[in-house]
Amino acid sequence: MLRKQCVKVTAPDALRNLSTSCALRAAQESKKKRTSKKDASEVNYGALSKAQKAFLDRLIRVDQAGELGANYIYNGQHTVLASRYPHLRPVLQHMWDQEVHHHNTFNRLQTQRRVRPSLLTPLWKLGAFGMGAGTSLLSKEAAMACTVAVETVIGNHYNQQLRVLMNQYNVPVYDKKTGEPLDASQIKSSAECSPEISQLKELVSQFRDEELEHLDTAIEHDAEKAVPYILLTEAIKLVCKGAIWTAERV
Amino acid sequence: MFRSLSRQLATKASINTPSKLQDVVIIGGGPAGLSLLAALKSSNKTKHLKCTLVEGASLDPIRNFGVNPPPEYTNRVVSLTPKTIEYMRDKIGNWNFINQERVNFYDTIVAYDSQDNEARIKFDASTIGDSVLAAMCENLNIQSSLLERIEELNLNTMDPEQKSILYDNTKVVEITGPEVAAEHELPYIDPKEGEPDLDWPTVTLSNGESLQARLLVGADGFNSSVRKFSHIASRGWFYNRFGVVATVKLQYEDYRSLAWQRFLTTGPLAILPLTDNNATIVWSSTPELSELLVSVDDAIFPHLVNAAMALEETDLSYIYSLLKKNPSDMNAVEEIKWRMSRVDSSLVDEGYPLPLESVVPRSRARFPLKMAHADTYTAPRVALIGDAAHSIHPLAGQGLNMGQSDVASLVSALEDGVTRGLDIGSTLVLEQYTANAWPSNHVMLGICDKMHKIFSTDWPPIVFFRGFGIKSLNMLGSFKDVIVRALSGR
Amino acid sequence: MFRTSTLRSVLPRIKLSSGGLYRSYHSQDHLGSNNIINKNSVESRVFTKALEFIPEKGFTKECIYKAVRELQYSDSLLSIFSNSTVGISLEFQLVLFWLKYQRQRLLTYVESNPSFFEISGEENRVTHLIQKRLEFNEPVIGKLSGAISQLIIPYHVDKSLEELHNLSDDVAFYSNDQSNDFSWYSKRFGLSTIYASSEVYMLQDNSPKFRSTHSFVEEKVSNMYQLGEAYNSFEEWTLFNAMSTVNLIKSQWHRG
Repeated sequence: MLRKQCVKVTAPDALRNLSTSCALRAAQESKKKRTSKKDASEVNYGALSKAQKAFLDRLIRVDQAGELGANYIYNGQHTVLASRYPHLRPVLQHMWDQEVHHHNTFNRLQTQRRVRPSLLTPLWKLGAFGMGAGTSLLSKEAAMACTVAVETVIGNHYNQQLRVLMNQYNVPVYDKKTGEPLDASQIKSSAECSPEISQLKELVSQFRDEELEHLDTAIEHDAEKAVPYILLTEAIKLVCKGAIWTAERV
Repeated sequence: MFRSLSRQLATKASINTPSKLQDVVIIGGGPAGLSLLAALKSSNKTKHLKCTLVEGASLDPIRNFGVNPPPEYTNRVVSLTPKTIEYMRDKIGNWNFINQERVNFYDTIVAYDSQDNEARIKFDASTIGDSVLAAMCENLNIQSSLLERIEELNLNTMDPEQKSILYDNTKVVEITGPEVAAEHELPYIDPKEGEPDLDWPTVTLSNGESLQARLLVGADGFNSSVRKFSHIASRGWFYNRFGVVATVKLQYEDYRSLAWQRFLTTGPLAILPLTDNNATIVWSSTPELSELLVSVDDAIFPHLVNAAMALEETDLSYIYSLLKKNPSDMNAVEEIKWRMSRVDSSLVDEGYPLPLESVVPRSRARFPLKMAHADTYTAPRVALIGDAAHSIHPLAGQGLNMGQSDVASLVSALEDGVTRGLDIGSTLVLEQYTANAWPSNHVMLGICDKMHKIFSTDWPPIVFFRGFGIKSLNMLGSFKDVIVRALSGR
Repeated sequence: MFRTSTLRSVLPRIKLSSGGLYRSYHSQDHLGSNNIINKNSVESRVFTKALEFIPEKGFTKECIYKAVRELQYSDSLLSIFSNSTVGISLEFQLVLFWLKYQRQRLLTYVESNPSFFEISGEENRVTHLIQKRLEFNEPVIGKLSGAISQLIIPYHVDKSLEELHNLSDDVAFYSNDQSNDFSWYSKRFGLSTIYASSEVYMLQDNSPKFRSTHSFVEEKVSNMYQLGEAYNSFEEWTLFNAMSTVNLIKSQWHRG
């Protein structure tokens, strides 16, 4: 109810972009022709192929589902552990806050880029909360082992995505004024990729770093003392991989 | 950045002026906070405790009320149950200081449904042998009586250490707790010198002072800073409804001492009698309607209330739509008069409240309605009372009374603790308070929430069943007595 | 929940993964990635022309024949359309193109009317857009039943549903829908149901300016949002009670 009230009425981004790009174009026509390398505001990017769009679509869906899961895992851990171990509260809260931020970011991307969310969101919520609360009930070391396993899988997965984003998104670039295709020597290196893709790359690498930081935090807090550590982490890793495979598709 | 800066300042301040140790620090000078202070100081077992109360706003309007009460009623009027009055009279001792000319007792409440005029229920205190169902009283009146009581107690206290301290116009800058150490680690040793290694929370005030409290009490309302400090979660929801309050004049004085409540689909509208021909109204409504209600002309508003107490919902939405276009449209008054003239005349005298004559200028205000309940009322060295612990829909007028019963439970838990020689900030003492107060508040919150939900729909099956329910309830005397007892806090 | 294979048997030939029933990724910086129709292709020129003849001839091949003649293309073009890999009849191609064309018009409407974004409340924006889309039907209302009968032929259903879903998704997106979980699906499903039933209602509506269709849409949309709100408050309430039960037990735990 509350949420509905505070939603601000904004033009969907795509539309807003159309109008700003018109304005930019007008501004540039009045400028003199420059011989220097073009930056992102002076070029148009070619259309994405079907496969490229499909990958971005899957990327946002699976990352949204993953961050939703992470958010609920920390929620479960916090619910069980915060009152038992007050000294863990700030640690858990910090990690949880970051996951909430990741989740919100992907939620925003999902609505802006018109990606369908995973159909199984209710299942992810329940499963993740259960995993967080369940391992915490075993022991606080088990909870930390769970964090280690989850963050390992998420970190690797982000890395794979980054690799694809780096290598597979070289679309043709055109001069905005003349419409002529440009080659790499004519554009600034920062403009080789569209802002849309480079922002996504930055986002994914920032989130990957933060997830790996959580992994370190968990190891500092005695994750490896959990018994049986190997069994627990490997089982959770398997579950996470299965969930990723499913969330990409359904 | 700012946090760390303010922390630095705070540490500096605490090095320069060591924090003052207090047994009880109460944050918030509303009725709950003042009642707790007065009650603690009135009890023989707890009056030796060193108490400080901190209020962010000025207490002058409250003091002025005692010396020189305003001619018209203020618009924040609350309903006091006999149980609350009893506690104020016998335990806190502020009832003598209440301006009795501005208190009105009533014994009956009539509630009816806008979808079905036959669905009426009458709660009458005389059926349980009581002459009073509740009393209407201004918030300021209560606060002013409590202040006077606290001042009286201070005068009677010889030891200056034991006099209660009131800070007004003083905001809480920061609350800091002791560092938490892991259970298996060594006990935490503070490397900095000059700071007491007590586990008492420290309150830094905007006047530069800092207090360290054996027991920190949050009486600081819905957005309680004490609750946030102690990481107690509060759950609930906003109703997407606003309460509109106003002081009004009836056409003549009603000698029946009746209170009225009509359940509209937009929310309940209550007319509660004050002395002479004064009355106060509480109208819960949708955000758009509440905006309209505070913006229509003073000349139109009374007619609108009269209409809302008697007309059908379809008539009402037509009138609202007229006024939405033009909030000073006098045609709306003609519409209302014409439509009112067609209401069944046999009901007019007995079935509806007396018509309103006027509204006191600038007495209208609105506030969002919500329900919230804290997970627990206590943490080590922390207790929450009043709105800091729970917010309730005003339809049953229980908000202030719940705060008073919190005070009663907390004081009796502290008395127990003192008698048994325990530290009054320890969880052992405080948990008694949660155990006593939490369940009954939970029940009351649930009832009011369900009442709101049941009555805020025009979905036919629910309308049918609630009409059926109300009619049969009205015939079941014994069950009604149970409700009357609950309403009057017995 | 359910396996993909069973899902596929329920919705034949509809792929849940990207590129199937659901619109794929909406790009921000890559122009031309999101076009609904490609205005420059010969095909779309012919079909756009053909739309002009629908009010007179209905959703029939005749419109396309006439368009080809008027644009002075050779008749052999027709055989390219009918033999195209799409493998669907010319009439149905015309219906689909007509639907896509109206979606494009809706987008143009939203882009060129800043006042649309001043409408407060998602619910009101949704109502407005559905009513707008139905207005586009008015010139061809007499022939619309022909299009609908094309759409509900069993082996056309997947394409029709895809178009219907895309319309719902457009309406939700332009209205600034922010759902991130299962409600994403229920909202689009609800909007599709409302649109389809309103269109059928419109066919029999004789009121001036289709006023009763407009109020039909208003009522249905408001019901949907009320239901959504009821569901949300139920979920909220359930969670609240679960937590409260734990809190109640905790509060009595130490009483001994």
